[in-house]
Order: sequence, then structure tokens, then C-alpha cells
Amino acid sequence: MYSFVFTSLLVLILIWKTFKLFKNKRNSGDFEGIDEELVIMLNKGDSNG
Amino acid sequence: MAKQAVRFSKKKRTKYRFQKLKMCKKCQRYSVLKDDTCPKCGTTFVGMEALVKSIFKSRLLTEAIWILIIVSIGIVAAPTVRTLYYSLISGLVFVVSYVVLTSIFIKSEYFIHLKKLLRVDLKKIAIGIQYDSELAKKDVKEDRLAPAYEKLREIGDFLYSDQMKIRRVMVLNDISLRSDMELELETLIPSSYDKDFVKYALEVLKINRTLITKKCIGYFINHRDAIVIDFGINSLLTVAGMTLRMKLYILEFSEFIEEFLDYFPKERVLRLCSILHANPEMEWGSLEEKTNRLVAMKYHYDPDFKRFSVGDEVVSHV
Ligand SMILES: [Zn+2]
Repeated sequence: MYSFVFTSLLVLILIWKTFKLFKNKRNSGDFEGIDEELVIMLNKGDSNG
Repeated sequence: MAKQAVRFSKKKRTKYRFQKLKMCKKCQRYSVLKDDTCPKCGTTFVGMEALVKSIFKSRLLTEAIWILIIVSIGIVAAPTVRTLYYSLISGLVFVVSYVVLTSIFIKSEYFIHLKKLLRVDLKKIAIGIQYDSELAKKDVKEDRLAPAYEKLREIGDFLYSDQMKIRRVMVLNDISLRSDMELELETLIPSSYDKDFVKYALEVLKINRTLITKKCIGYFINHRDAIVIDFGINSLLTVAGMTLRMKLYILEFSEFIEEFLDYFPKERVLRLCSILHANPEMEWGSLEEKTNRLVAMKYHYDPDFKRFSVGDEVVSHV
């Protein structure tokens, strides 16, 4: 019983981690994208004051 | 006022702009300038990528510690020797899978951390660039134009406001420009008419004609009235002459060229003729007709124009 609970806990952690990694990979995009975003955000702030 | 003779250092090029960002960890201040150390406290700047890597590494370390704690507790708390071995094995398998999984996704994880840091620190970055800009202002005040321009040039990669462009242009107008300088034109075009910009553009085009672009010609055409008032009609004539630099510009701005055609020096007319002549398949419209007429009238006996053989047919026309 103890081994089962412990292993399940570890498996759950692994599943959660995999899910998070996949989610991050899906949201990641490319370097050009963040470069653009950075400049757009900076210029937005600049023109607002 | 006499213009300053200066030498600019080479601009630092990076593939992406964010790679130019760096941070003084002591002052918690970002900078985009070329200096390696913080001008405030002397600490060496840490580059954006190194910064993200260090944050990423410490995240991984924290995770590793947690994992070891969980697995160790699992093993230590095992009630029998058999479950202890069992926990040990599953703990090991877990650690190995965790490490493999993380290394497979290491690139996207690094990327996410970079993105997060840029978003979270956006305000700090903006304040840092503002500080850089103050440093440039101080340089201008103290008449150190080259370092001032170099600073503004770096900042200009991040801020596109007219105000930033004009500040650069005003510094450039006090410098005696040379063709060996890495000068820019298109990136400095403001959204509305600005006398300082036009003054700079005319100056820089004198030493480097290749800087003229579609956008630049468009600017001169859009603000032609104000330009004629401030700089005289000859400035427009010069720009019209430079429009002959490329076939595509001639097509796009043929009306503008036509207007000044009669005032072009012979060398410009020769250039225009050779382009028209070399590309008979293109639709040059009335420009071609007008040019032929001009050549027939003004250069009919000029041997330089003989090769275009527009001769008799057009002359009989006129
Ligand atoms: Zn500092």
C-alpha cells in the first residue's frame, strides 16, 4: 500500500510536470516575436508619456 | 557654429535587440549602451541572456532540491525493508525521467523564462533606457557629440518616437559628416515635417547617395511646400535627381521626376535615358515621351545621346 501511494505521487508529479512543459512549449513562439513585443511595449509606454 | 569633427565607434550588432539589454545587478538598472560597467556604481553589467540563464539555473536547482527531498522522505519513511527498496527504485526512475524530460524541453523553458523576464521587467527596462537617454543629454550639454550620438543610436534601436529621431538628427547636424561614418537616413524619418531632419537629409545625401530610399523620397514629396520655403527649390531638384538611382524609384515617382526633368543637369538626363533605353518593356508612361522630347530639343546634336537613337521620329514630332 505504501509503495503504491508513493509511486502514484511520483507519477502525478511527472504528469503535472509534463503537462506544464508542453503548455510552455506551445506558448513559446520565436525570438523575433519577443523582440517585436519588447519594442512595441516600450514604444507604447514612450508615447503615453 | 563650426561643426565638430568626430569619429564614431562601430555599432554593436546583435541578432536580436533584446540581446543588447544588460543589467547592473547592484543598481537593478537596465541599460542598452555599449559600456561594460555601470556608470553609477562601476559594477560589470550582466547581459540579458546570462541573466535569464542564471534565473533558469536557480529555478532548476530549486526543483532538484524539492525532488530530492520528496524522494528521500519517501525512502526514509518506508515501513519495511522491501518497501524501502521499492521506493528507492521508483525514486531513481522518477529522478531520471524528470531530468530527461527537463532536458528535452530545455529550449522552450529557457525561452519562456526570457519572455517572462522581459514582461515582468518592462518598466525597469523603460526606466533604464530613460537613464541612458539622460546620459546622452548630458553628453550633448557638455559638447561630447560623438559619445552622445553613439548613445542615442543604441537607444534608437528601442525607441522610435519622433522626439528620439530629432534628438539624433540635431546632434548629427552639429557634426561634420563623412562618408566613412555608418550613417542612417530611413530610420530617422519623422512622422511630420521637421526642418532639422531635412537639413540632415540633404547633407547626408550629398556624401552618400545610396541612403536615399522610397520612404525618404516620399517624405520630400509630401512636405515639398515646406521644404521649398526652408531650403529652396534646388533641394527638391537634387532629390528628384537622386530618384534616378533605381528603376523602381523612377517608376514609382515618375511624376515627380517629370516636374524637374527640364532642370536636370546633362549627366542626370543621360542616366535617365540609359535606364529607359535599357528597359523598353516597362511602362514608363508620359515620362518616356517627355524625356525623348527633351533629348530631341536640347541634346539633339550631342554625341553622348546618339546611342539612344531617339532621333528623327521624335524630332518630327516636336
Ligand atoms: Zn550600478
